[in-house]
Amino acid sequence: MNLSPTEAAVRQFLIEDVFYDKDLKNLGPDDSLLAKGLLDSLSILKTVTFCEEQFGITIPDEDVLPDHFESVRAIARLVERVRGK
Amino acid sequence: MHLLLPRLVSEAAQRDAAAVAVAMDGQSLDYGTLEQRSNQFARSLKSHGVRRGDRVGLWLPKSPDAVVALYGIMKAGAAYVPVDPAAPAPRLAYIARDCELAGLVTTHDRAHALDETFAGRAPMRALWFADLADQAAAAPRVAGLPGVPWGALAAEPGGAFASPALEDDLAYILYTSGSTGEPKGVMLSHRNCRVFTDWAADTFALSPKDRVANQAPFHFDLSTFDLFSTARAGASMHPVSPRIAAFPAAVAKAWAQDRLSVWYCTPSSLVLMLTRGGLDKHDLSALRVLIFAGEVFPNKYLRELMALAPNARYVNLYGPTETNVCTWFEVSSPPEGDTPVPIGRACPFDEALVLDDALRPVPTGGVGELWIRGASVMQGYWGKPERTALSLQAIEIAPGMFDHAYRTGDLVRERPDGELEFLGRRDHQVKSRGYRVELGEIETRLAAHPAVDEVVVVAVPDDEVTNRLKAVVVTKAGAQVTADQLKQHCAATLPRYMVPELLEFLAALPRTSSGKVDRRALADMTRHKES
Repeated sequence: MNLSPTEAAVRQFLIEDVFYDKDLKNLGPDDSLLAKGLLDSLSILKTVTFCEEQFGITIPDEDVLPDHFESVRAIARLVERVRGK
Repeated sequence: MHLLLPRLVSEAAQRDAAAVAVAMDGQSLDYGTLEQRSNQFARSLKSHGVRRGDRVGLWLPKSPDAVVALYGIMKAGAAYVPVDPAAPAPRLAYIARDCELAGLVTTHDRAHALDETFAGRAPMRALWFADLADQAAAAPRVAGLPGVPWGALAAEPGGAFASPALEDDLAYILYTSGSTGEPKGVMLSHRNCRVFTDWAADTFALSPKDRVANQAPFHFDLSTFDLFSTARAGASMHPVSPRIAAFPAAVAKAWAQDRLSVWYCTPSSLVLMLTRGGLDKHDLSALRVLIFAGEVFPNKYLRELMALAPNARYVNLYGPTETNVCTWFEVSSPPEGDTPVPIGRACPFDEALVLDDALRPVPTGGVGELWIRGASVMQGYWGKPERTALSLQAIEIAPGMFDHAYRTGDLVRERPDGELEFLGRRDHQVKSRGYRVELGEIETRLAAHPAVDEVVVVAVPDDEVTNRLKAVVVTKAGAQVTADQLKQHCAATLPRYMVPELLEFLAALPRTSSGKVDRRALADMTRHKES
């Protein structure tokens, strides 16, 4: 699996601290997190907090939308965009 | 049988078949079609042997077809048993065995997990796959049982179906957290539900013009208002799409854009829309009635909300799943100070009794436990007569007059003006994000892990979600286990909202002088650390 450092960090966090599920070892960067209902509102809040602390950024509330949490790659893209501002 | 819940749809369809019943993800289902398709599904259930008094499970994401399914199940004379679509398969398996499901409506991708659940289970007759729209679709085979693609329902006649049910038959069973580690199935009849949903439709003046939000999942009893009060009025129900449900900003935007006029949700979800969802940026002029229930609404947020839509009615409803809604309070002006708004007075179909431990009435102003008697009180817990006997007891209402009343476990006080105030619980049940959680159920699960010696789960108060769950664990000598492994262990059988968010290891648990685990010390410890 070819992942950027941001993608790898987000993916590892999701598997270990959100899904609590080692069966997701094959979670690909483009696999939909929303289609299977893998994320609930608490998971989203935890993921936002993780990204903010890990990458030293502030994610605006209005960016916490389904399109930005569709996949590991989408979350990493959001992080990069906010970081680039 | 004019008090059966599915009659609400039949009657709405007779009045205006083209009126929208369910609108979701840009699709809509009108009352005529809902009536016809639920009749078709009732016939399909019957032809596969589902009979009056059976139970049929729903384990699928929210969709218009899930609404068709629950009406079809009730029309067939069976009770629907909604299971959290995000719950792990072992939880479905427990429920399926506990109440002996005779059928299941699900989606084809879930079938692979079900062979073991249903193999050799006598009452189980067939599975219906709501996502297989093609009549000829190959349905998965589960435990050798017939699998019916949803598309095959089209072959059944859609005309009126003579329901074999009576008003006191079970309409649905909702599973709630159980303190001993086993979820309990709360049995509710058509009449139990109708007294509430009819009263609510009248009290909040629902009309065919109303557009009613549906945020609660169908396994949560708030959904009964969304489903049945809406149908009684011939209004439209607008379920939140599963794709956006976890995003407060997306839900706030959708409800404002769709100009929804009636919202019924938990304070947690409303607070998240206020604090993280940019609710203040939207036009809420369509909002006519905002109802909340399930937990205490912090006044500072309630005031903010009332300022955003000053012309709407605000209502606090109260009631455990076992009684559905039983008391209510209309918030006529923004509350001052921090004392939460009252839970109010009994709805006209119930009576609220404030009793002491000897079951004597507590005078106005005194603290007592709330007991509820009346038409909305449940029929009992499925298959648990001893548990039912503890919760539903014969109480002397007046000299020589006895009736069964439900013991809520909630401590209340009656104000001089007759309104009841909620003061707290007398046991270890807590609310987290509107969900009712027995800390004992989580403790039982964690204690089953081989590395765990002792465990206590505490609720850490939180402004936005009422409580966060924290487990404090003492491991066995020499045992190695990580917080992640214990969370995985919980997630394998418990619903997501019951997996402790925080986990701490201690060498020993603090004890009171009598040797009991000192829960208060643990909770205080946590509070100091968090602040």
